[in-house]
Amino acid sequence: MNSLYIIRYDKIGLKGQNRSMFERRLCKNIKGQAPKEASCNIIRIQGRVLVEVDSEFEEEIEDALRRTPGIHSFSKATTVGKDIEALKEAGLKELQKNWDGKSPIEFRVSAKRSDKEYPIKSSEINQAVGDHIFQHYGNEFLKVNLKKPQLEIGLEIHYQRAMVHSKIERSLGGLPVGTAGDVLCLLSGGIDSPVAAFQMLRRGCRVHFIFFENRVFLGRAAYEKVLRLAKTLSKFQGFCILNVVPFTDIQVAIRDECRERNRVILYRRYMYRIAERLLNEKGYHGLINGECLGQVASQTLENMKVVNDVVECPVYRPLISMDKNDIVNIAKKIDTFDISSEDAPDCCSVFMPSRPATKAKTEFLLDDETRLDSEALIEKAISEMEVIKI
Amino acid sequence: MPSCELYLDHAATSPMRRSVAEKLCHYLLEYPFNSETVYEWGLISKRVLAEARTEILKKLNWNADLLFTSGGTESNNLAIHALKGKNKGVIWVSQTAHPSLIKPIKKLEDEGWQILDLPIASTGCVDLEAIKDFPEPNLVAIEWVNSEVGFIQPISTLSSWLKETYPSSKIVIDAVQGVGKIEMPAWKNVDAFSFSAHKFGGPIGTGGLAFRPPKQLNPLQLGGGQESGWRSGTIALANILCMKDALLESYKQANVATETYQVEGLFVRKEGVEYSSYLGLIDTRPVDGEVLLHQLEAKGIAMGLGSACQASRKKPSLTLQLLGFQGSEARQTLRMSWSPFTDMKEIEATIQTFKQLHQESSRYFK
Repeated sequence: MNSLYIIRYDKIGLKGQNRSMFERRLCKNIKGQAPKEASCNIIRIQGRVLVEVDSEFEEEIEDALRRTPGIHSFSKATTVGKDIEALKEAGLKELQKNWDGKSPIEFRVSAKRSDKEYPIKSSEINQAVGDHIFQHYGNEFLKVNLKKPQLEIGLEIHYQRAMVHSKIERSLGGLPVGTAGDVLCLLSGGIDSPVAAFQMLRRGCRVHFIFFENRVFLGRAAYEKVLRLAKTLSKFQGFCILNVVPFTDIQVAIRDECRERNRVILYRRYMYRIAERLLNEKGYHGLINGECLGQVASQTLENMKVVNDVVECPVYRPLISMDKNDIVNIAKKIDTFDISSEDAPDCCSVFMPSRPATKAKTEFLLDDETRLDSEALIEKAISEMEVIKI
Repeated sequence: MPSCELYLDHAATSPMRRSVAEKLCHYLLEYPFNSETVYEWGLISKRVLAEARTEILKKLNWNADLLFTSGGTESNNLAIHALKGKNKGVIWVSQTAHPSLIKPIKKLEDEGWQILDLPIASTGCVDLEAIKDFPEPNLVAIEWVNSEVGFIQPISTLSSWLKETYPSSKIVIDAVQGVGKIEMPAWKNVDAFSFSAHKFGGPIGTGGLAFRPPKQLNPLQLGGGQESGWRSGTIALANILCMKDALLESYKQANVATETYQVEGLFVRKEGVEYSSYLGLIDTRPVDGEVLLHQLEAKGIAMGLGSACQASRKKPSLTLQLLGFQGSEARQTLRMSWSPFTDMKEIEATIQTFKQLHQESSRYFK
């Protein structure tokens, strides 16, 4: 037996000529998220996507629909005949499925017609189905409530078929991954950067990752965290690439040669330079980070500017104005919070300045950098980069 | 997984050698039965279990009971629970012991017991003079081989004195870091000691409690009544047989490998104290122990931070504080631990590597 799902999408209807591309991408993404062994039939009809799947895989497909960006909501539905008698009977059956027949319930019927040639108006369909239900059960327990019904019986009448459902589940919304191009996110293992990545992939980006690792001093605890974070985020976007750049040499050089209070800014300038090279090589469209204004010393307006100055590519900061609580809530919702919160050493004592600059000056940063063999350091880091397909 | 070229963290867990792992596999296939059943396969399993128990008891130099458990933590908890007695009284506990000995006792404080920390001499060991003024205890709990520094507590002296002075007091020993490596003394005045198979190359999740049971049955977990009612739960026969093999092999090798490792000045050692030949604390000041740990890791060498169970970064160990590592200095240590099977030449090479890394890293910590 097959189960049927009606998928509603967000905003895509507004995209004019791009619409077909968006819809095709959404279908492809749903197919990609669905369990491999489920033979999943995806049908595009006007304004909707339908998914037919073997009932055995209901749980898996619902889980997939919950984590596919671009889906606004979905409903498990049943195909019914299009004539009004069949709709009336379908409405009654849907009520029976959701009601014990003996306790009070408030309901409504909501018909939608995308088949504009259908001879009966939506409001008339609602009326007819409602009347049929009352004829059957009387009004002892049943009451219509148009504003806040306990049960909403939905009827959709399309050119190809009519369907009935009674539960609309909200999904992620946003746009299908792959419609907005590829970006590169600086992933640290903290709480913020995975949320930043999620925000961008929900707007249609495919997000790849770059992680700067000081393995020699800090071991692999952070690496393991980042690997798990990238895997967790890939639940929403299918595949992506995690690039792990060895960063010990650069950190040691900065630590040894440069002004102590500028260290963190300098680390970040080198991270950006390396990330931009990778971005250019791969043709990605921008860098993403989890910066949030004023959160730490490196995230002041002045410091974000002097870091940003070293690259030409766009840098997107989806969390820049958000409150930490809201970031944490999203992190919990997307299952990255617990991983991010795990203890991993940051070894402040060796590399962190005792008093980091909050308004680093470009002239001093440039002066610091003259003491480093920047090109050689960057080249070496990139050549030793580990590329992991997630 | 990247290969670990040299493993020097045997106090955390001592990896099972292939020969032992193959025996475990053999036992799992040979004795897949419940030793409490009454058909022949069950009866044979029961006999094999009894034989293993006898062999282990002999090797442990213990003439009372032996309960099989899931390991050191369970054994310590069970021993405290069983031996503390009914009437709320006094318990003496070693401050340098493993949390699985300290925490269950500290919890009793909330229930109205009086808990006294054993006084510690400057060596880290219990101060036998200072305890003479303590009130009579119901129970004394102390480790044998200290898991962080490796000093050996004077168990025989302490337990003899205790039984002479307070004949009805009980004494529980956490022997996890000693069993399988150091020959067991005949502890005539000890009431219970715990051990764990994975500290001497046996399977993780298996251990035991050598035990002189009190008359009143008072187990921690209830159920099918195995182990004379003291420890319900189906007997993990294959694990126990494997533990027995690991124990015998480890002791055999320990006796062959008479060449024990001592490096002048490398380990934190005090005069007049006995130390384990398998564990040493390295003073890495001023370098953060974890930085060195990762640098050694990059060279394929595994070494420990402190006792793995208390490797919380935020809380320096009391043992180390008592030995003169103040505040963050407690983090400036590493623990090197090995097994009777470790090649001493490899340790020698590691020491050289360590010294070099230590020297190179020192500049970051000035």
